[in-house]
Amino acid sequence: MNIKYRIIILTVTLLIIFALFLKVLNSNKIYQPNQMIGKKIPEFILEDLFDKKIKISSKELLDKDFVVINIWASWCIPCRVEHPLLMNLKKNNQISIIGINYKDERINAKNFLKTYGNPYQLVGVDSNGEVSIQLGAYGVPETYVLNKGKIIFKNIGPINEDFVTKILQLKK
Amino acid sequence: MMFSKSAKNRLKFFILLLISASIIIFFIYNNLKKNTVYFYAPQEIKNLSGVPANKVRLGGLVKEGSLKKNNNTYIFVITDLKNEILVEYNGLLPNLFAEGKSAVVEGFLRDKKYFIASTILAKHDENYMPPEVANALKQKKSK
Amino acid sequence: MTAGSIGNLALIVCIILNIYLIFSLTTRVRKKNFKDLKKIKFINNSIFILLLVSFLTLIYCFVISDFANVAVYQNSHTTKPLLYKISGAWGNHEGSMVLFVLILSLFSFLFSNSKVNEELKIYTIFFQSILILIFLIFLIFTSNPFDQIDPKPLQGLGLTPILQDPLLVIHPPFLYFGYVGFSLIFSFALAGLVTNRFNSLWSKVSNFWILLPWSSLTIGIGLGSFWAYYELGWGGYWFWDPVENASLMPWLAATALLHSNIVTLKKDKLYSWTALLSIFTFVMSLLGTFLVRSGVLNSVHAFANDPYRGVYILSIILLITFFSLVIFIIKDPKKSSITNYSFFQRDNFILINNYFLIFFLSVVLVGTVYPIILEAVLGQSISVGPVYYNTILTPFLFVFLFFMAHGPLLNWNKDKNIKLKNIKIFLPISLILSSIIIFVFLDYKNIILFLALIFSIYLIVSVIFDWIFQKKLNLNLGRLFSHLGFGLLIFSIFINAYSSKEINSAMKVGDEVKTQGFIIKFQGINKIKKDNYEEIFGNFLVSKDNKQVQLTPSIRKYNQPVQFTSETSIKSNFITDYYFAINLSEFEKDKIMVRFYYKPFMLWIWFSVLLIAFGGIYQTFRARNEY
Repeated sequence: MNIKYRIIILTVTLLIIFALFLKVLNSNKIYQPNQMIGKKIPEFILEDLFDKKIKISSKELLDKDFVVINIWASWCIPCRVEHPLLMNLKKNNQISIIGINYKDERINAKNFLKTYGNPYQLVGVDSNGEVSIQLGAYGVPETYVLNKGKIIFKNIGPINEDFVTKILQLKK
Repeated sequence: MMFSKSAKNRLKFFILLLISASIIIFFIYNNLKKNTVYFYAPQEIKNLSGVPANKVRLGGLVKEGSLKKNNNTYIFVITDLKNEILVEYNGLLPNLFAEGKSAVVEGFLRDKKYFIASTILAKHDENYMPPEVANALKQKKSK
Repeated sequence: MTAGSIGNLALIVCIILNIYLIFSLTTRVRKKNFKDLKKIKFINNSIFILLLVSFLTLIYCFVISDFANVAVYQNSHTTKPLLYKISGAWGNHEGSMVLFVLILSLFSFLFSNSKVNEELKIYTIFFQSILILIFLIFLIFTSNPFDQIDPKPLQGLGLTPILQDPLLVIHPPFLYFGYVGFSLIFSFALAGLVTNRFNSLWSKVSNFWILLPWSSLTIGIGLGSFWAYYELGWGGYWFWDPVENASLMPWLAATALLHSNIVTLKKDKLYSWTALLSIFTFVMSLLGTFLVRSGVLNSVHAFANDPYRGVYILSIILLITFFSLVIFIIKDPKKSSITNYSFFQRDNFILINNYFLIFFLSVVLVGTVYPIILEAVLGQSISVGPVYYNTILTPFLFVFLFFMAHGPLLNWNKDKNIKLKNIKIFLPISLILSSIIIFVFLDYKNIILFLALIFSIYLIVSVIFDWIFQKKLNLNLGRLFSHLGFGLLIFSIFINAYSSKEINSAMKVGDEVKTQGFIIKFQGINKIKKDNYEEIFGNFLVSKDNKQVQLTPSIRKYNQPVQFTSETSIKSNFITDYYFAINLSEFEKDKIMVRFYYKPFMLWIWFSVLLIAFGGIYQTFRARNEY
């Protein structure tokens, strides 16, 4: 076999391997809890829960020292379990908590907050869940901690004391 | 056409090589298939046409309130929020196995509703959800 | 200027210097100026020093708990013991990439300061520098360990307790020194091909550069296996886990390379093999890197990563593979085969076993990659069990042992004497010894075990024979140690596999379990409290025949983050290990889950691996002195 022939076979083989592994990497089956950590939050704009005219943009989060983003829903039972911890966090701290309401009805969401309290500085409505998926979320509840727009750690499932401690240790 | 002796020898050698290679490849492929353990979520089991004879894995959430003990056998339900499978297991419960948490079991399906587990696969940490389980649950949530 | 910014700056200066180095090397190559390499060496040395500085500053950031550094924040905590703060530096993806590039540079540094033909040296440093540049760019732009968090958090997130282990401190460095170290023989081979200096002189020099990383990788794999044994709590030491396979594949390729190079040196043959294996070994290393870091695998071992980085790594690997293989194709060093060929020559036996090694590698490769591909293409999630590997590899392993036994005893050239003369000695001895062992000492009688004993003892006997009857002046101790080690390893692995026992039970204090010839008594528990964890010990007495062994396995509850680990209790002697692990269950609140394993010959397994590595190290030093 001459040289050109071999190089062609090599190229084709490697391209096939590349395509195959590219498919592997892109398949959504890959789920690691720390997937988005270290990355800048993807751009999004959400309507405010209480006033449709107000828009919450990810850009506002880019210069904040630390921000907590909590993805929740009124129909989600673990969200109710973690809620008191969020309320405590709001009471005791200067860290702002942004809520993203996931695949919910506005009325139910508002009622939830009226009944159990509102720990959020702002709540964005993510009715089809697209923004949450872009954040790397796989369900509710999930909570993210950002530093100047970069995700520095996250919690899957309802938050616990351990997680709250970590947030409290971010700054005095 | 006349083949030279060395050409004939080479041909013989090549054919021999091809046959041995085919046998070996067949052997490997066969073994691979036999020792490949497929993973299913409960809903996927419902959609199966038959009951697999080989060892399989089943994953999902351990349904709250379903874990019971009968002498030396544990019974619990694995669910993916769409379908449920009853699991029977005769062994030790690993550390992070609990109701409401995800679990992957390995064993044989007796029928589409009943699984006999020989092993419960251990996880590494609380927040870790095996990807197969996460996917099964994700599909539920995006509906 | 903080330590972190110094480290970051060092990396950037490295990139600049590297680009400059590549340019000046290119100029020299074009002008064919291979003299006076002082300036080249100086730049190369500086790059190494800067990378070392960068790595040390990262370690420093961990030691002082500088949580403004993202890597430190995510992986460390003020209460971590100092040793683990330090090792935390390379226990995460970003930090370990710095180690990766540092070792690429270390080998370049060592090589440039060694005695080699200048033309070869320039080309080798050229190729190595390209590798360094590629990974430096990857490091800085996608995995920079010096990324900052501002304002600086007061406390870190902590490192996983299961990874806080002295063995895991040294396992990565040995592993990296091994498989990243193969980059040098890769570059040296490309240099040889391009300059048409791929000859026996090349082989003489390359021996050292193959043996050094090979020995390190052997130790690295052994350490990882040893860690898995006492940490994971299942009594096993090798699970054919994709991450384990990722380190085994370069090792298999490197072993083939090692032997192919010996033939190249002695017989001026197998040049294509040696060149191709030099490239292929490093490609296997890169494949392993990709598998572990791209998020394609899910294992306690795989770094938490994302597919985004995976695409980068994949592209890098395929490009490196493509260009190196193109060079090989164009410059393939085909030499005419020597006449007077006989089947019973040493080089032929080495060649045959090399085919076996490549076959083993393919089997492992298929088993590792098949689930990944199947999932992507068909969406079906599967896993490949150990039975696949064991079933396929075992029969071929036996034949491999046979060739390994006779190869070293054959001449390099056609021998007028009878072919495998020593079969008459080896076979009876192996048969007798195996029979004695299996019928007197072991209770499990099985044909495969019997064959395994026969072939491994066969190899061991042949090595001893070789040792006694070989001419003292030419004693190849390296080979003797390593081959002996390998025979002993197979021997121990099979005895262990067929004679191990496992007992599972749920027990309360005071309970006693009698089964399989053992009596296990749960004597009591005691608790202790330490800085970052609380521990519950179980006291167990295991009796077998007249022997009594006390074991104290425990469960630890860590605070930061909250995690439970199970600490094994192992008592070893030359015959067997008594291995005990316990865990709690949320469901069984008043009982403890107990796992007892009887694992024969474990010490022999570790000893064999050390023996194999020792042979390599010994030979490395000999190779160093020879040139």
